[in-house]
Amino acid sequence: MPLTHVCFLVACLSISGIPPFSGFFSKEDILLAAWQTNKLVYGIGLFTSGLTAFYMFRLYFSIFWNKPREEHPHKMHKLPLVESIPLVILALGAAFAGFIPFSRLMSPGSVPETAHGIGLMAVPPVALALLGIGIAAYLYGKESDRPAKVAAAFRGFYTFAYHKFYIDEVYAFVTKKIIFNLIGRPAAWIDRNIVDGLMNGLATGTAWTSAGIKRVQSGKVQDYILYFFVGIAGLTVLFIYIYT
Amino acid sequence: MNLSLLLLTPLITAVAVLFCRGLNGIRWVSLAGTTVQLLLSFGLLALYWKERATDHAHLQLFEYRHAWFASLNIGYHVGVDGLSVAMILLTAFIMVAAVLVSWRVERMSKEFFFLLLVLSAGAYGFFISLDLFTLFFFLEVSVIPKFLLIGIWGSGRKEYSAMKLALMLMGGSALVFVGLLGLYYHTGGVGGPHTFDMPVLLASGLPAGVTRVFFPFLFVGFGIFTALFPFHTWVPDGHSSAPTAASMFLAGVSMKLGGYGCLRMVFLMPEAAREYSPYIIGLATIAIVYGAFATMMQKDLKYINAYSSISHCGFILLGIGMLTETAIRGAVLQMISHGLMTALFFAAIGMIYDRTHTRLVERLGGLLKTMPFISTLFVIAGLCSLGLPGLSGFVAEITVFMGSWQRTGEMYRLATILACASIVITAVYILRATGQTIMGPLREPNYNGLTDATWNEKLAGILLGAGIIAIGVAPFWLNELIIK
Repeated sequence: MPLTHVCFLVACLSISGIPPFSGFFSKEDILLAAWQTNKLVYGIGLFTSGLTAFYMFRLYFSIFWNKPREEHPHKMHKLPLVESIPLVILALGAAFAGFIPFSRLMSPGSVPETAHGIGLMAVPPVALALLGIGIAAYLYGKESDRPAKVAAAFRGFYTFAYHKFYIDEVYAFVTKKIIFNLIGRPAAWIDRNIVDGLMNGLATGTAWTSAGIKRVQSGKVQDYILYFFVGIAGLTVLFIYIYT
Repeated sequence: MNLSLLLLTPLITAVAVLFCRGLNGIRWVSLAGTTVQLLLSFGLLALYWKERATDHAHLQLFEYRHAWFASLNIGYHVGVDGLSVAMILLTAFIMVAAVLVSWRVERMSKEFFFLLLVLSAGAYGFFISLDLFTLFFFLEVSVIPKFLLIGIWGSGRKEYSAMKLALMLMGGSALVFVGLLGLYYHTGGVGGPHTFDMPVLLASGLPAGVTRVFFPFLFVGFGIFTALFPFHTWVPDGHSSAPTAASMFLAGVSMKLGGYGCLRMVFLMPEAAREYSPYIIGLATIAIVYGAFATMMQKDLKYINAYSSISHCGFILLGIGMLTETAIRGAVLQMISHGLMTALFFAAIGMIYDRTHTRLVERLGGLLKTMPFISTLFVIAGLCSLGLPGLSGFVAEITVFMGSWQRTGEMYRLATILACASIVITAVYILRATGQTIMGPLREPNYNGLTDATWNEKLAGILLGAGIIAIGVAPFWLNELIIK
């Protein structure tokens, strides 16, 4: 698959920041700006650009230089036009888009940014990228036990990185344990039992009160006479209390 | 336009249904009546635009006044502004869809459609009333049929839910009535002619002492209808026990009666509203956040939608409570948007339930394979609920948020931020529910033979879905309608 091979290589070179591919220009501008404002950010950017070159070429070497690991059930076929045309368009962009003077089109105010010349500042990132590519070629250019050895040497870090620094686990813990169990479940429980319980309690309270009062209206004449005399007695006591 | 037509059409249809013979007659007469009503509503919209273009003097158009109980100065006084027109359109849309999805109701169908139509007449009457007494009267008309609809045609713990809903809404009405009487007896001086007439009240102004006492009664009373925390517990039970059409009407229109009432009270008593607005905002924010968290734990699709309605109706109250013009406009947009969206949701859930006989998320799965149309409706409603741009939910929520942010002050900012953050929780429960019911492999082998939507269900879904998308893509006409 020569077309795919070429396009993939172009993409890798571009993202690694090798001149004159388009990735070089964008990275160049960003790193320059970082250098002017914060050296630490520049250092991190520089290191990462080397890392990018390494992992992209690791992919490239493993895919295109080594023998297929196992026999695939379906044979690799030539790309149909609908796939190859977009691939070529994107590859052309990745290769040459750097020559479009974007910096002149963009401006913080109404004044166009002046384009920076490419000077000595371009040397460290490119050198680091080449170094990354070199390491990738050394480790993955041919099938060997070299990668395994490296992994063994940095075992702790390797596992840490392999598990994506456990960030997904942290997310899962926060959502499942904290949000679902500590907030969602209590909210649902409180709603069904406490808030709704209060509303149902109002209804039950009304029903109880009515059941209690209901007995007063029994319809028995004896009861009414009893209330009558109790009432008279009560009022008598009250009047005596008031007037003495 | 004679507004009484809007009241008469559903009532005449309801009576006509009683004289129908055969299931098909009942269905078609109901559909014809609601369709005529929908056309009338569009006619009203067109006439309103035309009239409004020239008439800027009156707040209300097409006014008609007739003394009802002259000795008490109670009048049948109707009129519409942009807000009422929008709500009438919403009701008309939902009613046509509700009749269409009720095609399968075969038990006591005459009574079912009769009650549904009377219910809608109550809502139309409510939206056109300018007299507080008739407003209250129509509010009551729209409560009683719900009790019967849930109690007779419902599912699950239907008697319990019907009783709970009726009692809590009655409680709300009782508060409203106390408030109305309070206002009534403080108008026109001592012994003078008291009045329930809103435009008159608005023109004469109410003493601050009176509104301070009675505004809370009215606001909480109407608020109960729109799931004001902590009086929202009728919502999950009522919605989940109700038959599909009643759920659609309940969530789509009935809860909006409350929002509309609250808004009218705010217009009537702006000073009192300003005084109580921190409390309104507090309760609304609790409803939004707490409702969203409670939704996350629900297992029944109808409970999910009912709890999410609590959260979404919180946005209505939040917008009203913020009192800025944009926020109030957002609240109205949210009323319309939530009405259409939740009706579509309940319609889709009803269709799924009719076929699979379960609403439990864990027992559903892979429905997209057997019922692509219904599943699509479900997904559209879900995406609208989580506020995807291009659908009406986004338009409404963003307007509420922008309006809320205009109110300065730490508490208001906090409320706005919390309300915004709750959208993430909405996404969690909507995507989980959609993923588990619609996507994935078929949960049970006998789901394989299930049929997709019938023509009437498709029509109902298209009607509501089109409304959602139309507002989502071009909200400006609605926006302008509300302002004017």
